[in-house]
Amino acid sequence: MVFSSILFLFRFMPIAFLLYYLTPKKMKNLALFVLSLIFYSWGEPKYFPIMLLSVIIDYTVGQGIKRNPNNVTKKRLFLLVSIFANLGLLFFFKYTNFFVGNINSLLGTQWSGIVVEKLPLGISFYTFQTMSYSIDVYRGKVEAEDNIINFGAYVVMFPQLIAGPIVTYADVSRELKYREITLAQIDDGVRLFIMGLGSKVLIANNIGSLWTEVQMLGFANVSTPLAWLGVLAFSLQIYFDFSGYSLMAIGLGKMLGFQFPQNFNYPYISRSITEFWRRWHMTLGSWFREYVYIPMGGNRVKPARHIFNMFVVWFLTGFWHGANWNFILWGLYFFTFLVIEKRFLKQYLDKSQVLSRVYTLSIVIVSWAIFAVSGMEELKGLFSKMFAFQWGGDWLYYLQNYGITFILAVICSTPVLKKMYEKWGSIQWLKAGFLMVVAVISVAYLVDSTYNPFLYFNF
Amino acid sequence: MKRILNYPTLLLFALFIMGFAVADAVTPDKVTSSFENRKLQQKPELTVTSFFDSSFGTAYETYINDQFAGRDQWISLKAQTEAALGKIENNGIVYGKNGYLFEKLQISPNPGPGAGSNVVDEKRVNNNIRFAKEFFEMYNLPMTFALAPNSYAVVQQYVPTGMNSPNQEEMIPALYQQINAGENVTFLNFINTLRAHNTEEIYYKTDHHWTTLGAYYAYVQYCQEKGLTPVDLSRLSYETEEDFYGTYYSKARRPGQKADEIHWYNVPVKSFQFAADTQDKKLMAKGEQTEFQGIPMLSVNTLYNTDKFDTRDKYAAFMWGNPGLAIVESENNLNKGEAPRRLLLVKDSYANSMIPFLTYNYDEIWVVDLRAVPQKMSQILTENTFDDIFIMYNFSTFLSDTNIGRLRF
Repeated sequence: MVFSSILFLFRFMPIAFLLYYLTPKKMKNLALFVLSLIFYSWGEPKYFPIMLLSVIIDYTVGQGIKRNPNNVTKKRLFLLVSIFANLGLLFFFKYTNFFVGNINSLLGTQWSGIVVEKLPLGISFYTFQTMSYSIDVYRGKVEAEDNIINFGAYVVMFPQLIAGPIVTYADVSRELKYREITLAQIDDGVRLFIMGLGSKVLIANNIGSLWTEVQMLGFANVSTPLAWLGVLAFSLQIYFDFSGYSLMAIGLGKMLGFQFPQNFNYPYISRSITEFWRRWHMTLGSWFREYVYIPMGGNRVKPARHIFNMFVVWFLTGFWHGANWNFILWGLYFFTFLVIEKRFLKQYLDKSQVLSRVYTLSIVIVSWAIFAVSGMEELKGLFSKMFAFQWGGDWLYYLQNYGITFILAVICSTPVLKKMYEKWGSIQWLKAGFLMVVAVISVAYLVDSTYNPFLYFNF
Repeated sequence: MKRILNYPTLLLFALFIMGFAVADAVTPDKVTSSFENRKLQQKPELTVTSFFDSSFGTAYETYINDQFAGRDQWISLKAQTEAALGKIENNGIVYGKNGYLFEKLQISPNPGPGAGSNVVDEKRVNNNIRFAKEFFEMYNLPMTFALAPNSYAVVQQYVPTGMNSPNQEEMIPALYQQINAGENVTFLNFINTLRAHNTEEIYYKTDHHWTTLGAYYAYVQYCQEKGLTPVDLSRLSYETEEDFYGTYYSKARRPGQKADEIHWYNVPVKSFQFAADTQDKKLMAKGEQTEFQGIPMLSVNTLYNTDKFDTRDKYAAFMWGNPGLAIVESENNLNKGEAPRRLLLVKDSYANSMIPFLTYNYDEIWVVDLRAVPQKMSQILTENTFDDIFIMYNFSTFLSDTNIGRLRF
């Protein structure tokens, strides 16, 4: 099930929240666990056991580490079980076919891959979460959870199960045991949820249809300006799609009594790629920093080793986004700029207001072209269209059609609205009125929707 | 309880969600949407299989969407918002000048799953061309083939600049080249004839069909090509149906759209029989049930199902919709000869408004719609003889229809 659907808004949400609020405190985690399983298995019941398996393994690992506080070998063994199991599941479902395909084309073999119609929903997210739990228990950063229902509720909690934010156990361990649900918190949760819904339905879907159309026409058949418009549209689509989903998740979390970490912080106003990655998909960035980069030594090593550490992190970041060469290329593209910035560029960027932003945005927009097109031949076609100028009038029609949407999307990707909220947000009825208009129009778009994809569901 | 008033966002949102959830649950389900002119998803049955193969989940989601309380109003609200955003299209329909709506036809090498019905898969196009070519190679009979252009290719002056749809002026002759299999086929191109009249009302503004007048101009060109005398329009009288909102409008819901008028010529016929659903008691009561070569038919004495004029789907009045096989017998032929002249017309719904005129040139017209044809084409062509064989499709239907392949069977 997805949040931005009539089914979720008018069936699942009212029923689930009524049940949840009516359930006595002690039973709330159980209620949350069961409701989340229903949410998850709707439409894809097949992969539900895989998720349960991941829950059981990491619960057992946590217990195993806890019960052997002084036996380092056993503790390590348990940790390895968790890492192998989670990465194994992820690898098997997400990457087998990629490797088989590459080996086949390299060696001329004819091995067949595995048959997975679709990736198990949310597997890239929940394996990272359960792994973080086991690692943190091993490091003594958090205490192992004794109650499997509490632990299960953490992993499968429906707001963040499918597409993040990547909530570590440490983020919510206190709230899992004791949480207060206040009207003020629910109210704020509703605000965030509606903002997220609007981002997704009104902006991302709307502007995304332009990119879909450019893809559909084929890159060979569009003019250079239209190709750029398309890539620009995708850049805005992926931001509002993903940050909208995160906002909805954070809002729903608040309504349930949880504080999830922030996931996006106006990435498109960044003045360097370094800053961009501190503002974009922040929970993924901190995951890799916490569990890959720092254990490898981070930057407290020799320069060459430091660059190698960065290389590994960005290779993995790219590869995490999909089992395809273009995602690896995308990760390494960022690696290149991050190294250049670390070496010398950053100090100049920090002094500039406008040029630094032009630089950052151009690099980011081109990166989305790499991200959006998975075939290497196709990507070549898109790039040659973008950089070898070819005139045509087709973009005028699209500019006319999408102009206002573009302007709105650009405004919404800056903190202008936030500033207005800080100024006027205390006038409760004004805020409520605005949000209800967003909610009602979003519902209208959902009722009449043929186009409602979720980009991050592929991950 | 008064405390909740301090949180109007929460209060209003909860009322909105709960209110519609309840209203939606108590609103009885509809079978069809007259506004969208389609069947709506009914409540799917929950079984172990349907649950685990996830077909239940998918169907249930469509069901909730299709049956959502106030669906028509929601769709209009979306259309109004789109217009406020300065959009000049909605659901693949483009807002033209002078009240015209156009389909943004697109041929795509890789239409995604989210592509609308205005997007045609290039593979389908190539298949349909091949099927037509194979058909013409199979029978060495004299035939006429015509693709009727869509409105955007004819009333070009009303099309917004830059609308990115195939150039039919170039594509129609190119398709004819590709299909051409030999001397036996005459290819007719109506585009110039129609363009010469493109300030008249020859296409509906809200629907994907040409008007009766548009069909007439094409008919005249057909007659000239075949050496027949076209009936003079001033000799006939027509009736008018107002308030026609066609398929383009159903998709686009352009705010402030004016309705079209339908003109129809109630030409006399001796008999009109067509393959009909005998289960439909209401329909069968309108005429006499007959049988033709083992096919249950309904025989009536008019070409129009006038009941349809009272529904949204008014164009379905012509030829009683799109029966798979229909036979028109009339005494209108202007050049009546010794033996009756017989036409086989293989067509889509564009032809429905042209057939009344063709009765003035043929005593008997066999009308075949491949989407529902009850016999094989080979059987129709080998067991019967025809003076003329005319295959006419609308350009966009010909590219996208999934039944063109039936020509070869």
